[in-house]
Amino acid sequence: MVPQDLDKQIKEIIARVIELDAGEITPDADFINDLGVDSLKAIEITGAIEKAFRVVVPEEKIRDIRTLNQAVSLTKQLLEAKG
Amino acid sequence: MKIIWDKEKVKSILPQREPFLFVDEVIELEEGKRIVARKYLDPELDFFKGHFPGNPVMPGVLTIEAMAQAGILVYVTARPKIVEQNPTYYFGSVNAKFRSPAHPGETLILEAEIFKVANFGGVVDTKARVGDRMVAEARSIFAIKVDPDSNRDFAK
Repeated sequence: MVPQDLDKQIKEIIARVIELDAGEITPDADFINDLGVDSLKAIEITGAIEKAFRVVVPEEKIRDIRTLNQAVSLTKQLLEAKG
Repeated sequence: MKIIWDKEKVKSILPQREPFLFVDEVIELEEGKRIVARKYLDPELDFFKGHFPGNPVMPGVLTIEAMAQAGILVYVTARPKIVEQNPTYYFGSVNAKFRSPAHPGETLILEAEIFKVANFGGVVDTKARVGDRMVAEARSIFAIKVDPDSNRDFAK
């Protein structure tokens, strides 16, 4: 089941991992260019999302998660696939 | 306690060597998930002479290194083929908390649990303790670069 506040939950997860105020994470802010996230931090973000929602993010998708919107969209797909 | 991986096996995975090898053996292993390793803090280890004279304690940075080495070992259980590709491991960042000092003559127990791994790096949660006494906890993030064409052989 996809939580109604999925966007908010993922924003808070990302904010915690990258140690920024959630307000700074706009839906299309690029993690790398705008928020100072590197590819290693992206692994941690992915791991945090996996643990929060009990999903598995395919390895090839890790580098594709570059914005909050992309993270939400992918998580939503994974949750829907899980049923 | 049963030894799952002896020092030779550890050396076939870790590129570090004495005096910078901080894992003696692995004593528990859940592949792809968690390992427990140990390191005997020999009073003759060189750094104890200077850290500190008359009051030797394990340097915190070396405790982090020991936890990171345990982290590489658990990573390899999740990505065993990486060892064949002559990997080099680079520390990305570490978030550590130190709880108590470790002293010469004690045995450091190193627990490492995978948080998330990818082919290009990993995030592991690690703990160092002496018996039940917590020494340090850290989340380590590291990158891996492979060089399949290299002739380097860690086992030597």
